[in-house]
Amino acid sequence: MDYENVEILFAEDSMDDATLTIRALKKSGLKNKLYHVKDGAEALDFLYGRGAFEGRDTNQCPNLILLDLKMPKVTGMEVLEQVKKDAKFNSIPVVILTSSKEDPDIKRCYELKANSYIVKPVDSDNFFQTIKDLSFYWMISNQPPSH
Amino acid sequence: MNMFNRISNKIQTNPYIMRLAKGYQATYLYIILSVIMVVIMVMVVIKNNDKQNLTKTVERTHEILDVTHSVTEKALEIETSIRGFVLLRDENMLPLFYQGTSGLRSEIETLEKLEKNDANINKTIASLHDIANDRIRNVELLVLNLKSKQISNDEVRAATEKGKELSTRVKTLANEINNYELKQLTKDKAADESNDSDLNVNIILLTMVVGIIVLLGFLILTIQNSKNKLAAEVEKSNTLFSNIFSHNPACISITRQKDGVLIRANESFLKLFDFKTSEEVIGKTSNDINIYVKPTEEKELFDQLVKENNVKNKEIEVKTRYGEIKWISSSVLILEIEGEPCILNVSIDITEQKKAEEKLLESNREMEAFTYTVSHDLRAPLRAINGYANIIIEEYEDKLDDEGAVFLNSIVGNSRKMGDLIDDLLAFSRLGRNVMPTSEINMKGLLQTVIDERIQTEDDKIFLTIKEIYPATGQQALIKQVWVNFVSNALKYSQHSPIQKIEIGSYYRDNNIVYYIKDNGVGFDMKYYNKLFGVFQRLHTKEEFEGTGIGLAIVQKIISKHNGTVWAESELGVGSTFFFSLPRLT
Repeated sequence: MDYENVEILFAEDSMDDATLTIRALKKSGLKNKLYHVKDGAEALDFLYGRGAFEGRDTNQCPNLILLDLKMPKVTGMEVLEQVKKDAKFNSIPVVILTSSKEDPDIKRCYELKANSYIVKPVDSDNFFQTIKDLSFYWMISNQPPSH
Repeated sequence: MNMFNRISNKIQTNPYIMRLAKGYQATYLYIILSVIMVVIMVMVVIKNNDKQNLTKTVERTHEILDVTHSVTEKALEIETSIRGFVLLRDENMLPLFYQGTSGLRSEIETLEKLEKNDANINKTIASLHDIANDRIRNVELLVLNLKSKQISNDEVRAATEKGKELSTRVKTLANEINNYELKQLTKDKAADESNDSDLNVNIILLTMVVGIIVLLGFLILTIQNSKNKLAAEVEKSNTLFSNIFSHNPACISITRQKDGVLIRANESFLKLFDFKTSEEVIGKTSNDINIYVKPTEEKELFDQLVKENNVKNKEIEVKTRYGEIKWISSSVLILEIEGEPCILNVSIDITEQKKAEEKLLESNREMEAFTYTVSHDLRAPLRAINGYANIIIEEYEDKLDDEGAVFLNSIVGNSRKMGDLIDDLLAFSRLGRNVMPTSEINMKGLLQTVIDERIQTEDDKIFLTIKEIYPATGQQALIKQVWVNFVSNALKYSQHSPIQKIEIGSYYRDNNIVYYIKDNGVGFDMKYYNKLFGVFQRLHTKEEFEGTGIGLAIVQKIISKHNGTVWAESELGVGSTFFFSLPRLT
């Protein structure tokens, strides 16, 4: 799989959610290169060029990370914590995706300096519009310093 | 002396007896007065005796006076009779003469008997006796001589002269005695009078003392009586206290404040901490018997007690002598026992309650985890259904006939609705867990905010009347939600009325503030009232009015969390009034 020049790293364990999200982003004309990983462990492997991503140029950082909170192995919050702890990645905007605004982890995410969060509503229209807007916003307004 | 000291010490250490010490002083006074009375009585008896003696003396003096008088008379009688006999030589005169001599003799004997105790006059009486005898002898000799006619006239004259002289001396001596006795009489009378006045004073004194003693006796009796009554009352209240103390299901202990030593503990206290006898705890500190899991908690409790005078229902973790952990709810206050500041501790065993609370917390946590899972896992497939259905509508619209498009839209609509239901369910369950700060709420301002958010000012179909809105205390965000739900409902259910009339107000009732919101909407049938506040219960179809049926359930949960109640009145086609009460500000 081509993981060079990735602009958006998207971690989501639900294939349905991933399919629908990717489709919405593409359909809305967001042409940036998106890479989908299925859990937090893969997301970290991607960032650090480990495991399946051995040999990836880790100097190429994505411009945005979309993180689902509830994922197997390593959760979204753990990825967030690691990303924000690491000086190499801490300037990458992280948008948290969650199934419910009741999620007690949201508060914790903000403490860990997540840049935004999106509740995944049942109604796909709303959701995809929101995610489109948000991604676009972070892509254009929060340009990370170039490496 | 030792015994006295012991008793006296005993009395002094007993505050009850000390309180009655005044009564004891009265008893001492009573004894002193009794002694005085006895002394006065003895004096009266002595004085009375004196008086009797004096009376006897006076009587004797009077007798002596009579006798001396009689002596003079008899002497005169003798003289007269002898003169007659000398002159007339009539023997008939002699019986009178003998009568006189024997009379004089007996009178002088009487006088001697009467005066034999008085040395001052005895000499005079002796002289009188001698001279009277001389006189009698003189006349008897004369009479004998005259009878026998062996006497010359000259001798008769001389004898008569001699007799006269003796008579005069008898009279003089009798007078002397008489005068002496008269003097004695005057003296005795004076003494008698002074004795009388002494006696009177003593009798008055005696009467007074007796009076005081009677009064004091009465007083002591009264005091004793009230003392007895008081003692009976004390006894009664002691018994009552004792019963309350020992039979109380609450654990009661009394601790001396200065050193924390336990001075009393009841049966329940011993039982709670697994002690067999009170000897195991009395005289020891809580540290000694090691009942506090965190010993600092006792100190905190006492510090709070000193600051606030009493502490109520403080929950403390304790352990029995075998180390079993228990929870108690302690209420303590300072009270003075026998002048010593002590701490009264009344505690109830809340171990079971604590266990139940923990269980509840545990199940709440489980419930929370469950709802969290539900919210995630139920929503994910719904999102997929909704999302894919939308894709079909968008991408394959031209391949569907009209009916197919309707069905797909129905799938989209239903999945959205189910999403809403899940959201509401989560919101409802959140109410049970979130603890927000309680504060004073400017209810009028809060209500206005809600109204401003819900009602457009240019909407001339709505007639809103806001009456007096009293302030309350509570969790503002939750109370706001209550108003949001009520105002939304009022607007929603009156939307088909040509003019929407809504009235909001409040009033005080007992210790509560009651708020109400009245609309002229469709209302509901009161026979379904019991379904009104149930979760997902609806009294109208979705086609009539939108909604999931969670609003009033949320309202009820919020209000009951605030110790208030919610109720409603309605009539179909006329309108509804919803009420909720909150505890009044104190």
